[in-house]
Parts: sequence; structure tokens; C-alpha cells
Amino acid sequence: MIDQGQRDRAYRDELRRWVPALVGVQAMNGVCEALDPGSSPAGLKLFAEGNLGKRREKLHAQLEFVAEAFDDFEDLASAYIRSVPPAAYDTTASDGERFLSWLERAGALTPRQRDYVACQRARLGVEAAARADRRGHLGFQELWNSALQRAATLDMAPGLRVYLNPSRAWSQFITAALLDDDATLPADVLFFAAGEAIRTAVLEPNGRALIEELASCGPCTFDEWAALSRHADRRELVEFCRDLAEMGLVAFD
Amino acid sequence: MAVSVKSVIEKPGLLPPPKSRRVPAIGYALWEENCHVLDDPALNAVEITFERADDPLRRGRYLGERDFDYVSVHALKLSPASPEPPARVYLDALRALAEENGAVAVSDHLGFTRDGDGGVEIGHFAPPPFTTAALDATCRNLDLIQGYFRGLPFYLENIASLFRFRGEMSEAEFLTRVLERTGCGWLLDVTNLYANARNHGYDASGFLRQVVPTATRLQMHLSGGYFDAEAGLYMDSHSRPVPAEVWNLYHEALLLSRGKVDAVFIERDQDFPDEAGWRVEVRQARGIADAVEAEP
Repeated sequence: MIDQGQRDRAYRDELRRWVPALVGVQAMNGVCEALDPGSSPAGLKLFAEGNLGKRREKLHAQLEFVAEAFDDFEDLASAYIRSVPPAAYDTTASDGERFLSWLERAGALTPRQRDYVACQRARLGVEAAARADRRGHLGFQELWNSALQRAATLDMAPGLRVYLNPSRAWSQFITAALLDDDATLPADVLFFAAGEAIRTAVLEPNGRALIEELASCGPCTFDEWAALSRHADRRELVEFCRDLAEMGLVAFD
Repeated sequence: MAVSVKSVIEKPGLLPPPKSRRVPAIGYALWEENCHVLDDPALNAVEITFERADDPLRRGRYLGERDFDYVSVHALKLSPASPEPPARVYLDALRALAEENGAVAVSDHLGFTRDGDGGVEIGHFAPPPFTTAALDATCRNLDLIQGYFRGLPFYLENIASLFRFRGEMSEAEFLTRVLERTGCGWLLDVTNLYANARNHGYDASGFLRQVVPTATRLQMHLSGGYFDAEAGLYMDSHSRPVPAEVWNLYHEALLLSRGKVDAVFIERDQDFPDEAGWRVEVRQARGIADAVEAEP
């Protein structure tokens, strides 16, 4: 007599054995044995190939930009898909993220390729941040609608609370492949959500320090930030805030 | 601490059937490509597929300013036939989308998309083996899912499968027992039923007659695929107009389930038609539903 626990374990084991074949990363022998006598392995093969094809399509659509930096992107994507199964609840974004990590581990990237990967990873980082804190993301974007008007009154209304865009991700580029030719390298690049798009800002070391200062103390009033800032005086901070507000990196309340 | 007795004893998912709706709400699974026909007088419902609506940078409501009589959220990754229950984060995301868009129902497929440990995603739902073990796991997960979505009826869709595992019962018996034990709704995908009947050699009408009496509430899906001569299989590709055989089966299903069908959605995922093509199918779905309602 089989009890419920044994039955559950047996079912779990079955699925554990079958799934790698169903996603096309393992041979199908074990699954074929479990097929109903009226079912042909050809249907199983079509199913696995369909899964591989859809996954490849999604990866390509998402990483079209990174593909520009690789001559053998197709082969690499195929090798990845055949060797790494998708993780549970995988969105296209997280499969893309894992592919980028796999690319870094798989072989030496040229500096240009490394920048393309870093750029794509930062974009995915912005999306992940927005997904993780949707309320914060929407709240900031709402505030940003009035950021420019409020930024204009900063020197008269120092009690305004300053919010840093929560949907952001840092990256560093080591080549000028994705930058202006006269960019100082390496360059710190901040990716952030503005409306429904992702924007970038190349920041000098002092700018990065100020953003990190606000990230650690904010949200705080402009007065509080000005009082503790070690990287800018009050006048410089007003100008900096106005620039950030225009880009979509800070908002006020 | 106050405890609500009702909330403790209430069986998840056993929501009363809707009282007033007799003719189903009818519409499309929403795509950018069919947004321009949502004003059609024959259409008063839409289905939002979660994975398409799930854009982390989206600011507004997915449906925008549009309102419909009936909105349903269609999920792809609840994986009711997995041994493990769905992750809370996925349930939360589904509910957030449903609330944001005023959805009145949630649905997913009778299959598994994850392995036994919940670590690997297949990408598409595979049919469960029709065994007692799979039945128990499915019912356990559906109880949990319905308990979570309390107030939003849940519908389980029969899937089209290119293969089947060895089992202990037929698909119709498995589905009937799931509906009996959990009280969840049935999302009858008419085309999936047609495809399985053709590919696995059973009688679609018999399937309907066996399962419909157990379902307390239904949604329906209609779509079109093609016969792959090389594979010898009908492919449910959602890429063609709804074929005549499926329209006939739809008519039969409506007759059998009169008064229990909440909504009908037409699915088209590729090779999109022109405006006339979009409009003609939703009008046909509406026309058949109205005709069935008018029959004595």
C-alpha cells in the first residue's frame, strides 16, 4: 500500500527526471519510456524543440543590442540554451541576465564586448529595481512630473524633500564604444528609468559621490543634504539638483 | 484576537455561480495588434495575458482608460500540476495586475511548467500524467490558488498536448475530478479540445458531455491552428482563423453549458488578420452565443 507521502515523492521524482528533457538540455530516453503507448516520441521532440525555439527568440529580441558586439552571438546563444535550463518563474529579463553572466564565464570578452554586456546588465538592473519596488517606482515617476517647477524654487524652499530615483543601476565603461570619443575612461554611467524609458548619465567622480551621498541620506530635505554634504557647497548643490531633476534622477515633495 | 468564523470554514474556490449573466461576455485576448477593434459592438470583454502585461517600467493601467464588462487575467506560470505550490511573489504580481485593471477572474492551464523542485522552468505547459499523484498535487495547488484569489474566480484551462504520459485515467476523468474536488471554473479551450481529440483519437463531444455537467462556471477560448502533415498532428498555433470544426464544437459546448458560461475569448498570437478579419471572428462568436441563447 503506497501512502500519500510516497506518492508525492514519486511524482516529484518523475518531474525532476522529465523536465531537463522537456526543455531540451538532456536526452529524451527517460521521458520516452514514460509516454502513453499511443503517444509518439516525435510529439515530445516537437514540444522540446518548440521550447528551445521560443526561448531563443525571446533572448534574441531582448539582447539584440549585445549581439552587435559579437560575431558568433547565434552560436553562443545556442550553446547557452542547450546547456543551461531556464529557472523557475523566469522572465525573459532574468534569462537574459543569466546569459550575460554565462557569457562572462564562458570566455574572455574583449573590452568592447565587456562594455556592451555591462550596458545591457545595467538596463536589466533598472528594470529589476522597478519590478522589486513598483510602488516606489510609480511614486517617484509621479513626483517627477513636477520636478522641474520645484527645482526652480529650491533656493527659496530649502525644506523641499529630495527623492532619488529608486529605479537605477550603475555601470562602468572601459572603452569609448558606447560613449563620446572625448569621454574620460573608465567612465561611471548611471542608468535610470524616466517615464517608460531608460536613460543614462555619465558622471564625473564628484557627481557619483553626490548621488551616493543622497542615496545614503535620502530622502531628506534639501537643507539637510546641503548641511551634511562633503562634496559640494549649497550653490553647487542647487545647480546639481536642477540638472538631475531635468534628467529624471531626482524629484521633490 | 478576533477570528472570523466565516473565513476559517469557507472552502476556497466555492464561489456561487453568477446569477444574472446568461449570454457570455465576448472578446479577445489582448494584443497591441487588436486594440483598434476593441470598440466593436460585439465585444465587451478582454483577457490580459500576465506575461505580456508584465512590463516593470509601465506607469499606467495596462488597459489604459478603456473599460469592459468583463476582464480576465490569464497566467502561464502557476503550474497547478507541479508538486510545489506557486511562489507568493508570482501570485502577488497576478493579483496586482488584476486589481489595477478591474479584472473579475484569473485563469491558468492544467499542466506543469516547473520541475519537481520548482527550480527549472519549462517555458510551455506540459500535460500532467493522469494519475492519482498528479491529481492530488493539482487539487492541493488549486485550493491554495483559489484561497489566495478569494473573490476572483479561478478557471483551469484544458491544454493541447503533442504527447501524453502513461496514466491511470482519461483526461476527461482527470479534469472532472479536479473540478469536483476544487470547485474551480473550467476554461474550456475549444480548439485545444479539438486538437487533442484529433491527435489522441477521442471523441470531443463525448469529452464535453462528460465534463460540462461538473463545471459550475466556464470561460471559453477559441483559436485556429493547422495540421502538420509531417508530424501527423494538429498544431494549436493561434495563427489562423478559427476553423469550422471548432465553431461547431463551440456551438455544441454553449448548448451543453447554457447559463454557466461567463466569457469567451478568441486567441490570435501571430499572423495577425486585418481589421475586417479581427471583427468578423468576434462577431461570429457573439452571433453563435446569441443564437444559442435564443434556442428553446
